[in-house]
Amino acid sequence: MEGKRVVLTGVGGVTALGKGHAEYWPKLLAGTNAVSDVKSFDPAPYRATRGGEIHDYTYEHRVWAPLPPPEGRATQFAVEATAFALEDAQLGPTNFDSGRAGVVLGTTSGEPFEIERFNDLYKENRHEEVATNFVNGYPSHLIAASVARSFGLSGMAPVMTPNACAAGNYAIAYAFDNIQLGRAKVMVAGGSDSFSRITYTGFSRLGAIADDLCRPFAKDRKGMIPAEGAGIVILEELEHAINRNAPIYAELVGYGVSCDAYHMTGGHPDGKGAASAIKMALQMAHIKPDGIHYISAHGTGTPSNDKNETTALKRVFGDHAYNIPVSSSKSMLGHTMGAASALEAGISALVIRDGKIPPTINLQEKDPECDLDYVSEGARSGTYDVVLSNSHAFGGANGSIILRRYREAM
Amino acid sequence: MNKKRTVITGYGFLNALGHEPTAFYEQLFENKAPAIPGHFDTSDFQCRNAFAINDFNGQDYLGDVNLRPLNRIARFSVIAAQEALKHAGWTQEMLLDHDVGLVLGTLYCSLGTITQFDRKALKLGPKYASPLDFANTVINAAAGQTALWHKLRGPNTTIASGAGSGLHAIGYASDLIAQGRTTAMLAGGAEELAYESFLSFEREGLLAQKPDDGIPFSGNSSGFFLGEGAAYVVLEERESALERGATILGEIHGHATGYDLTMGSDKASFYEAQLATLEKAAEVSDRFATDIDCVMASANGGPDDTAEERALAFFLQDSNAAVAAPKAQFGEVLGASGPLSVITALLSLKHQQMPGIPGYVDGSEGLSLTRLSQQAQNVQGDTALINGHSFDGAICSLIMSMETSL
Repeated sequence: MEGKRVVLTGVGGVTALGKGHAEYWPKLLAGTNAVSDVKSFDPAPYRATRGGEIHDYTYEHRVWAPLPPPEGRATQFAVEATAFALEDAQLGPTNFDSGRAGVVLGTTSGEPFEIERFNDLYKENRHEEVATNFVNGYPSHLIAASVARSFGLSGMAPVMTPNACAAGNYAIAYAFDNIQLGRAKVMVAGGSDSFSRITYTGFSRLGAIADDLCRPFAKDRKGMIPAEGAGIVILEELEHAINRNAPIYAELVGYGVSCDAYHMTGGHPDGKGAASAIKMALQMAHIKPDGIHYISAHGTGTPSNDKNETTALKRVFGDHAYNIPVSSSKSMLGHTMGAASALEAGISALVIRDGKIPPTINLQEKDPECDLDYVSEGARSGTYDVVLSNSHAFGGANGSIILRRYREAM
Repeated sequence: MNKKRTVITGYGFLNALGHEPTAFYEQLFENKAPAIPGHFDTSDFQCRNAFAINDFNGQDYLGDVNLRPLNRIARFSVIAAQEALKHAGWTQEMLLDHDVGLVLGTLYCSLGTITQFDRKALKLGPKYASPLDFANTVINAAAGQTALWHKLRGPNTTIASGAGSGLHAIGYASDLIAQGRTTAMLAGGAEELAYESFLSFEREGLLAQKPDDGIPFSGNSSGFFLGEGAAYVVLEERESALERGATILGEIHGHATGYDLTMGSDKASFYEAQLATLEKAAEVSDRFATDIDCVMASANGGPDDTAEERALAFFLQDSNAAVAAPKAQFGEVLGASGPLSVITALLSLKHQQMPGIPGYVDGSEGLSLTRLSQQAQNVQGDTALINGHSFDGAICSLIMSMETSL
């Protein structure tokens, strides 16, 4: 079934390398490391002490509705990233029908600080002070609701696709389907997560956190770096975008989703589930494997992920896998969890627009089992019309999207 | 755009009324009272009861297997999925050959597990936090565990849009099938009762303050009773289901979601958003209000019932549809409420009788429904409307029918 065509018209983000792509995109191309010492809690009891925190974050309340600033950190990231994305798409409070627009966001943890605050007070038997926060502050759907209310987007119920580290791509897939079905003209799609003691504890107990830097695909990689941020893209029905002369970064031509059903916290070593998602995306996009010009990798820097992901890419692309440049922006930003694939969707759109691929930093020597072209020498220039962006998550969830330079003919 | 037809080929559930369809249906008419939850203390609360699954032992349903990796909500989900797959005739061998997907709606997922995980690390140090428990702290944990248990390799996503998440999940899954993304999905929701969410609902003043309260659509009801459990329907593309010889129980015609930007605080605005969503659901389903034969309302005895009552009254003004509010029978199960209501609708259409609302008294101010009753009501016809709304403004309405050739 072929539905309406969907284009990407705006990119917004809040990251440890800055707010809005005008600020963080040049830093990504320059190979800037955003990983630093953890400051939001005392990391002393942990084996590793590094993170991709946004230090000294100050929320700027640039919304369209007369509402007070949101309180939750992940919500603030999401709302502010949406403001950047809407502005980038040249959408304002009066130039489109916000009653035909919706919001879908991914997350791993929602607002985990509400749990941490509750537990901190519980120790002192003062938890009644925040007793109502599990109704009013914690539920993840309130992040999407806050974005919808901040910009008056009432076309459908705001919804979260909280599919952990692949959540952003699942949100983008949800938005794609709803535009194709004619349920919305414009969708705010993305993901948001805040740095969390709970998440850090968990990854630390899995032995998955690197103690210095994130080195995707490197022989000496030690793990991932938990991080925070939000990524938002504006997806729009093509005709709607054309009618308002919107800037079009790219067309979203397909997505693929699958589940490994193998392990809760690790991907299948045969890469079959990840490959299945990529194949579904290629099929939906009517693109052959040799039609992909760049791959934005999940590339977390854990020994298992990078090896499994490389295996999956070879499974789909065969020998052609060696010809496709692959890079991981997590080498610079760390792993922003539910925001990661949403940020990477925006980065993929910028790759198409500017013809520049951000590098995989900290990669001196490749793992022999990770032997593809990981763009480790620095940003690379070229023409990249078709980009695949992959994500994998706890629960075995895989999500891939394909963006293609917009052209009038399909 | 030619959309594929989405049919229901099975269902499964576990809640305070059990996991067996006949017993569940009979209990919908017996008005079981909520009880004191057995797994946390509610003695400090004005509302002490809930539709809890007390004396729960996962091995009673799943056999003598290691259930340590599964927390409470994941066990509910795995059991409900097992019942649904069995009901639809999907064997383990078939699941290995076909990528069946899963969409799970939930509001809180593993809130209890996350809180305990952090509390333990806080008290004893991070090295005492269990990696096994960490796997259950992500919001998609129940969906992941269910896929892992049953080898569901198709699209797997969790949907969180508030108390209507489970109905929203069914609507989304039917969209995926209608668009040809996949041919078979488990769709539903799950929720566990946890001390933290119970505390929050109580302190927010949303829970029933009297043991015999929690009466949907009654103006003097002080609030609702929470419940827990999981429920799934098996959705399949019609031709694919027929090809494998599946029994078709019903068909999803369409759904719509909506949002009230006042988050339900302005009842007039909430009413308008609900009415618009009902009309949209009818439009995408290619049905008129007069085609609706019965309604499973979202009402739970809480403060938002008035807006739904008004919206349904207006929408159904030319219809003879009877209206039930099954949360009177199984409580507000949040993410699992919608799927349980869909199953209640299927059973009610099949038996041509649906449960009443015990203790209901007309609490409306001028625009009341005429098809609400304390008593069981007859259902004539094959089409049902299901509502799944959230107390914070998210709305979902779905239209389905029973397979009449059965």
